[in-house]
Amino acid sequence: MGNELFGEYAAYVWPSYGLTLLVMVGLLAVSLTRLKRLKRDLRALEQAQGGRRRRRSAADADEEA
Amino acid sequence: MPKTAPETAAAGGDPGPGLILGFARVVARDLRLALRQRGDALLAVLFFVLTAMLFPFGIGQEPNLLQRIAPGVVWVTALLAVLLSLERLFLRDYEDGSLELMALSPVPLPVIVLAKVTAHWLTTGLPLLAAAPIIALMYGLPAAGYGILLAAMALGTPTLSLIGAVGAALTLGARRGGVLIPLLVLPLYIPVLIFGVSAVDAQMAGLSARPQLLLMGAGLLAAVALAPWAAAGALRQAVE
Amino acid sequence: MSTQAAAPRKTRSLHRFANPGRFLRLADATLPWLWMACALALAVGLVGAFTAPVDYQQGASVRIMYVHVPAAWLAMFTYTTIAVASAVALVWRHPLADLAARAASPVGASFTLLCLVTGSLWGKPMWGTWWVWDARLTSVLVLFFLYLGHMAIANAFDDAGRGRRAAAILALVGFVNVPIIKFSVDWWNTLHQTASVSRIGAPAIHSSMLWPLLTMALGFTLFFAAILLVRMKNELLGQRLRNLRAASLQRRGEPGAAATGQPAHAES
Repeated sequence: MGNELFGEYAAYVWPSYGLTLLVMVGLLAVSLTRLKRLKRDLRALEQAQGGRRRRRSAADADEEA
Repeated sequence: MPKTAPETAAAGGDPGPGLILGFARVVARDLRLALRQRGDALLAVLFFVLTAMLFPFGIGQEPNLLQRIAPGVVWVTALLAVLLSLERLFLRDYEDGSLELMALSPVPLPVIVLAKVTAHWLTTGLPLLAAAPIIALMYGLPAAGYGILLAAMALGTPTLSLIGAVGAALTLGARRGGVLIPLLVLPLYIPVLIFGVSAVDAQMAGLSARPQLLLMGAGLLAAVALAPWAAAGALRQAVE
Repeated sequence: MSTQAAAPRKTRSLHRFANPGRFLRLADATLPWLWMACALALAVGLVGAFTAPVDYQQGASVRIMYVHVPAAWLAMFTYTTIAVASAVALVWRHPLADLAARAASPVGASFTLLCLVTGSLWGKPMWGTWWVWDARLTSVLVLFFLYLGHMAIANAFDDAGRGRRAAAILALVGFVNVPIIKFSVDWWNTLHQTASVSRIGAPAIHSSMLWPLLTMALGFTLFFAAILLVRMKNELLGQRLRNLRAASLQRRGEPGAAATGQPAHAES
């Protein structure tokens, strides 16, 4: 095993594995950062809207009263 | 989506003449429009001849070389010329709203698509077919190759129009629709290119071009059977 | 009769997963297990790949096979997945199938590119050149362009639903064409075959090389399944975010409508 790792084909074998790692980690990173950002934005928006909806329904109730 | 034809057939009782009449009307209308705007059809042929003219400048004018690449050049440039003409296949009808009327008409949408593709081939494929011998002549294609080249193009260019119709229908209303069509359509054109060139090559090598022509015929039949449905499905979404 | 009875049941069982909340819960429950299985398979496969005997002809360069072949497998598997999902989306109008097709195509394109690049890295020592117009390489290159077209059209419309439906039709058209393209490229290649090109891959593969290969393929497939779930979650959350934003814009428009004298409760 030891000799093959740095043998004549090492210049082709290692980049292949490196690129595979790059593709997998890259896909993972892109997808997970998007997930994180979406979750953060959603939470922010839901909080803002939740607050306004409560205020609005209170105002509506006042009007009706 | 493929329900419409049997439904009309069941409801209409005798739909034969209606279908054929509707088909003929759309073809006649598109031909009239094309005649009014002769520039469009001419542009495709001009593009075809001009692009073919560029190759000797790029690779030199050695007769043997030109003779060998003649079928390939004719096919590749014909493919690009068809590609150039695809955007206007449905775009005008889409923009002025006649496409919506067509989708609502009693004639099934796939039949209308087939009619429009027929008109497109008559105004693009047929002129290319007529111009191909000129290019072949300029490249010094031996006399034996002309018949097969024309036969292969007669079978292949309708397939190009049919596949292209799907791409044109899919990109209606898209951002950068014109740039998108080549990306969608060119990979699907590869089989036509391969068999079209190979038919002429086989003939020149003294072999029979029959298998290639049969395969191209089969491809055309499959495209006639399938492409109008796919394009009609795409058009229906575009006008929804 | 039986098919008629079966069809609605199947539709209903499919649509059970259409509920986004249920899907999200299911995905969250499955994902940790998928990631663990994926890591395990890849680890075992890697050990196998580097302890397997080397090919007597190709030497250590055969180790590229353990990433190249699984990438090729995933390239085809993903396109099949997209085609099936597109058919389900078009026929049953299943909302999650649409999302799956859209989420899968960048993953498929990445692995197709990986397959091409590793094939090139394997071809250089074996064939002496980075690229040969070999039938398999050429077909995979065409597949890569089919992926790019699918991704481009899905994002080409202002109306996201329109883009997904157009992409679904394109995926099906492409799927019908893949065997035709493969056949024509094989034909073309046998016509223009040059003698210097030797074939990669022995006809029969020894079992000591086969099991690492299969394990790696399993690991790649599990990776695809897990990343697909994550990306589908992204699509769902993105949709929810767009809807919420549109709703809040509408609400902001309301006071204006009220000011023009519209009765406030006309809509309720």
